[in-house]
Amino acid sequence: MAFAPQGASKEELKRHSRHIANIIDLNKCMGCQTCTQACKSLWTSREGTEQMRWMNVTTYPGAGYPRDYEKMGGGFDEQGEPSPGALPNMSDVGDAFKFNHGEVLYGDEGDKVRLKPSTTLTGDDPEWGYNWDEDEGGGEWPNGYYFYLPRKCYHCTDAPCLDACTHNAIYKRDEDGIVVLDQDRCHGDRLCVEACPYKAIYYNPVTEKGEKCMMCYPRVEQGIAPACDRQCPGRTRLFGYIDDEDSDLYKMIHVHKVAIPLHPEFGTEPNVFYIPPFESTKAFAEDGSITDNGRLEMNVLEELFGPDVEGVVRKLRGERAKKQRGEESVIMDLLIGRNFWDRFKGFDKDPAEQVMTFRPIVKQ
Amino acid sequence: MSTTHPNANSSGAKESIDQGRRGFLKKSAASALTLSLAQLGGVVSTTFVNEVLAGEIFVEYRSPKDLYREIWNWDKVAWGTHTNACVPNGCSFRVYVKDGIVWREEQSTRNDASNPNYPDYNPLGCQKGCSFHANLYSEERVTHPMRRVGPRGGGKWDRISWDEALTDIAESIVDGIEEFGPDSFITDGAHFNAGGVGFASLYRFNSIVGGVTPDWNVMNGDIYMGLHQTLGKMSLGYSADNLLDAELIIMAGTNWSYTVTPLYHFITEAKYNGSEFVSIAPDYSPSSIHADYHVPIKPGGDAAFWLGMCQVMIEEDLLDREFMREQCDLALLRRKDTGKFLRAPDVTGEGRVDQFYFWDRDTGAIAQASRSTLAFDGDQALEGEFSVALHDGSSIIVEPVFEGIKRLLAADYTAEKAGEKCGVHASLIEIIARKMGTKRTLTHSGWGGCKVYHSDLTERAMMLASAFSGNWGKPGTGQTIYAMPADHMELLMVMEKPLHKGGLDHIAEVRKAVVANMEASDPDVTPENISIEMAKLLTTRMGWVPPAMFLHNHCGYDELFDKKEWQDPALSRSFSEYLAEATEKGWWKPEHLRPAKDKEPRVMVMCGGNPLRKIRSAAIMYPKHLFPKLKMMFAIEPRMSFTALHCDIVLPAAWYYEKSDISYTVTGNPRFAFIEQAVEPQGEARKEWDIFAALAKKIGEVATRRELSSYTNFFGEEQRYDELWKRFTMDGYLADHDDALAEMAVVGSAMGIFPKDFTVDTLKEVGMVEMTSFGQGIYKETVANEYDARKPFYSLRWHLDNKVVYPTHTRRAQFLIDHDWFIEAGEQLPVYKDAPKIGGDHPFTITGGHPRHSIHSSHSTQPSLMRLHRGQPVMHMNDKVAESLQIADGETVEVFNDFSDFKIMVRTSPTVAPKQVIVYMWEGHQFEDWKVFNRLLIGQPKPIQLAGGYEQLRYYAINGSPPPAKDRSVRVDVRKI
Repeated sequence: MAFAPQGASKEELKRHSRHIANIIDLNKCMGCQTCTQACKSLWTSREGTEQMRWMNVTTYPGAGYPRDYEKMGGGFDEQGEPSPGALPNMSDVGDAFKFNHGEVLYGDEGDKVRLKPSTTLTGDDPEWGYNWDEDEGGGEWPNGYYFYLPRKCYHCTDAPCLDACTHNAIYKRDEDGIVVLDQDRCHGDRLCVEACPYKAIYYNPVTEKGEKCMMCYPRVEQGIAPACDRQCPGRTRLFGYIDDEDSDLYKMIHVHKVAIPLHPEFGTEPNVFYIPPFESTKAFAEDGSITDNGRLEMNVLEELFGPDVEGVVRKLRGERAKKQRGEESVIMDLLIGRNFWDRFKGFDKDPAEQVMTFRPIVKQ
Repeated sequence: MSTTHPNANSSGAKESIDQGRRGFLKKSAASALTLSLAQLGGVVSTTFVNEVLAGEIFVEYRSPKDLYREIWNWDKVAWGTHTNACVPNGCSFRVYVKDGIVWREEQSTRNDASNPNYPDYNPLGCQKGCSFHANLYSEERVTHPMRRVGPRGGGKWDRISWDEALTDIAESIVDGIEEFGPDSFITDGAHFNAGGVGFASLYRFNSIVGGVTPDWNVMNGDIYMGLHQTLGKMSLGYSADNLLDAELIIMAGTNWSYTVTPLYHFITEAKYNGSEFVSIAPDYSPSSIHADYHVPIKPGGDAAFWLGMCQVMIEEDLLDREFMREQCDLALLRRKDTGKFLRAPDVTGEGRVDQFYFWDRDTGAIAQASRSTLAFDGDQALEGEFSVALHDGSSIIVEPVFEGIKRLLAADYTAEKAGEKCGVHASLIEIIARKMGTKRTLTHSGWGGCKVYHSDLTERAMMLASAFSGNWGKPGTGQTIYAMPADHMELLMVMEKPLHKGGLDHIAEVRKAVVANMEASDPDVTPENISIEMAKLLTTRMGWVPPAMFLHNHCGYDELFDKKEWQDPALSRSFSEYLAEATEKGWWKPEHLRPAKDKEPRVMVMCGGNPLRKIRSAAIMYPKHLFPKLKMMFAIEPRMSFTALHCDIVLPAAWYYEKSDISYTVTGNPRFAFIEQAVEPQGEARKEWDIFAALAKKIGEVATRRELSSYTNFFGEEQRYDELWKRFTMDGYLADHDDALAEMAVVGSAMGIFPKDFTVDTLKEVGMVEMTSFGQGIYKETVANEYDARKPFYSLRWHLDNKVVYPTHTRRAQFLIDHDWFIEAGEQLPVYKDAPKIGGDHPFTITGGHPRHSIHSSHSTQPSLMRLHRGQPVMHMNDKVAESLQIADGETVEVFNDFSDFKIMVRTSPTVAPKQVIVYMWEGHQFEDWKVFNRLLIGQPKPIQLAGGYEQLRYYAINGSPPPAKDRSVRVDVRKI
């Protein structure tokens, strides 16, 4: 899109020629938080951003990140009207605990002081923080269950944050549809945070601006996949142009239709898609015997992915069964993704080899 | 290769900037990229951001001149990895450096597939590796030599000079040698959290001085005694892509999603490829969540589960009888009167005690079981009973070993009975058994599984199920354990001369003598027997000793080990009595019992290890029994660990990225990665090799000043104090770290683990190298399969395809151990036994293991990783049980048993078993009063593992001898505070 003054058409800000997309395979995610760290090292170690996890992973069922984001409103209602939303606080967004290393290691106190976290705002012992309910999950022993749910900004086609901003600080990039929050135009009033039903925009209290995942566009525009995707050891990710018909990403979303968005009912047309967990561990019956049913009930998945998930689950189960019978399955082979680079078609360049055309900021 | 960017600071780059950009730069340049340590990769200062924001800049949408593009730049890229405390390690990284500070790292993602039919290894790395730069600049870095002031662990330090520190340490070492000889010098056996050259230097120094080091791997308990008993070896290497060839994957006592993060995808991808995944774990673990079946085993109940599976396979006739006959002792004849094997002296009145017999159904008579091949030209009976004439004219009844096992299984291990023993419903045992009996099955018993008291029985039972179903030595099968060819590091510990001056000659000579000696006493000696003998000799030479004996004799652990109620009730004697008998019988020799009881440890070095956190109950036993004997305890550490906090002197060591290095490999990830020094060491930190070289020199100086010239080592050799430096550095050839690294690369190449003519310069170019072979060490024979980087790797193929015998007493995979101690304990055959109530009669069993967010304790206290969870130790507990005790999630409770106690925050979950509590590893000073959880784990070793005089019951480095780390079924109770 081009320059659009305050009050200009939101349609113009949403206009884009192409769109990138992600797929995250929840059957492969092990909750290791490498994606979280990859993002944090790169983008949110600056003062004012330490509490942000643009990329985050939590255990589902669980409170999610930011805490209870699903209960905070935002998005569009069934009539397409914006829904009111709430703002997460410092604790909800995970805090950035302080630690007392100096006191413990060199403080002449010996074992009277232990190394421990304290909250940023009050210095108290924390009662909540990022990933606080890690590995807790739901159900009842011996049929407890959980899976990991990685989330980031969904770079929605119909981004409510963009609509909500009264300063036109949020726009989609023409070349790839990435939703960007312009630091110069932002006034820090956080209407975008309220509007985002996924609560993927964060407040920087130092600059007093909003900040969010910008899909690593400095990498993407060099043909390098986003850090969280490229660094994921579980090989859960695919990234690329959503209209690239030769890509594995396209095939999974559009041809085989096995990748679906999270909370489609928010009405924002997210561009990060998920392969839902389609086969969970077999459950035990009341008498303790093993059954052939998975522990994860369909309604749990439907709450996250809407009614379409059932068909996807059925299809994926059928495909895995083919492999177990020794038959071929194109879909399973796509999910295996033997060649890592097939998962990032067009974005397979090595950052270490990047020519830094914009590097030299020379002190004058 | 350092790629200093051509554009950095060059005027040419400036010219390419358009006018608008120039304007932008002018406004922002003054404070741009002024990095400080406090920012830890924060990259752009707040001032900078504010100035940008405050500037009167016309910014168009999609302008390339914005904050994030300014962040995305760097000066230099270097290779990196994080070796060697991490297994699998060898993940190749790129390290990005800005203004002399490591800003971030990212996996190099240059890992090929073995071939296109299998997934490649990319991206290979984990959250710890991806945030290591934060460790580098953490407040816990040790940056200057420090001397303790005030009480041990008091946290009060004086900064001292390197010379002062080294002089103090050298004086103490000389004092110790003069008092008790070099056995007074103890090297804490460390797996090493700071690199390969450092690892080699630690053990080289120990060996040169003539000190003693309790075996780190046995101390950790990462050892499969049951595999040794069965196969005569344990390091059954595999490559991770072998999982894709399995139809069934059974993982027990392991939690790959926490511990093998970079290779975990091979499990999920194998599932997509059609295999089924079974997880055996007391809790529905973070790896069980991807399993098709979770087996909620009672902690330590595994043997019953496997034996129940064996019985189902018998009942449903799913046996691979050919495999059982050929590969195992199951067709060997056993005397019904004694329960022991039928041996040559029984039959002929003479001959070898390790000559055994089959019943050949073709001839209707006994036939000798060859000791040189598994091939048999006849038809061995697996079942039945037969009459055999003995040399004295009498006759006895014999039966194949399998007959006895069948009886045992039918009586005690039907699915129902086995299920009762292990807490698993019979229907689950049956369904998994049917799958295993008909599918290509890969099993993996992890390093958690081998830390239950009777884990040897678990492994023997697992192997029995594998034998029944013919599941090893073929693609997609096997026991999936690491083999670690590390000739490059290991030889650097023992070589006396550089390679080009014949550094390996003396090892070759020793080998020649060993071969001649062994062949003289046994015409059927195998290359594997010889490798094992060589390993034993080198182990002794390096001063490695079984750790249980060190703890028993010098650290007061006899009071724990001898507590009858904490040992197997089937045993008639105490640990001390078994040890005395075993020593008297010559199973354990003086070389295993160093320092001798009449000597005392005087100096202990901790380098890359953290014994107070690691060794079970050392946090209590060391201060009480060992510390009073020590005149000097010093640490060479990059970070202030729990143990370093208790030292007299702490020396700062360089860490990854501050020195060049080469990782080792485990076959799971069959490649070596390179670290290139990217930045200078912090403060006054030095590389370990250089520290040990300086210390060797200082010892010479101190001795000369004190007019001392030489001492006698354990082997009776006279050693000159003033030659220690010469010997350590090979007469100055390996004067510093980089010299040692270069030699390491050359050695690795000469031994064939790296490609031919490989050097450090080659590594600088390519950053990593695929393993080319298992080298010339013991692993070559252990894995028994040629290594081909273009194929998935699995072990034991030669035994199947080439009929190569096993290094056991019977030369077969052996399920009957007819050693008197095993018979006394009722363990001559694989059975299930309840674990003793170690710690007392308390309702919960404590389990745990490697944490998600740290490699051991290396990253436990690193802030960026601590912010990925509650930032403090937690104990996982069943939600309903916690509720019944009125304990809420987030509450701090006291955990205790008869020996000790600690306090910890509770996290509740329905995925934890009701009678289980889980504590993964944490660092000691994270606990209230520094009462680290390990203090109540005891680690009770199993006394009958002191048995010897039986081929496969033996010790050599990182193998054999009872590990004092049996902590996974220790009993505890939980008290609300």
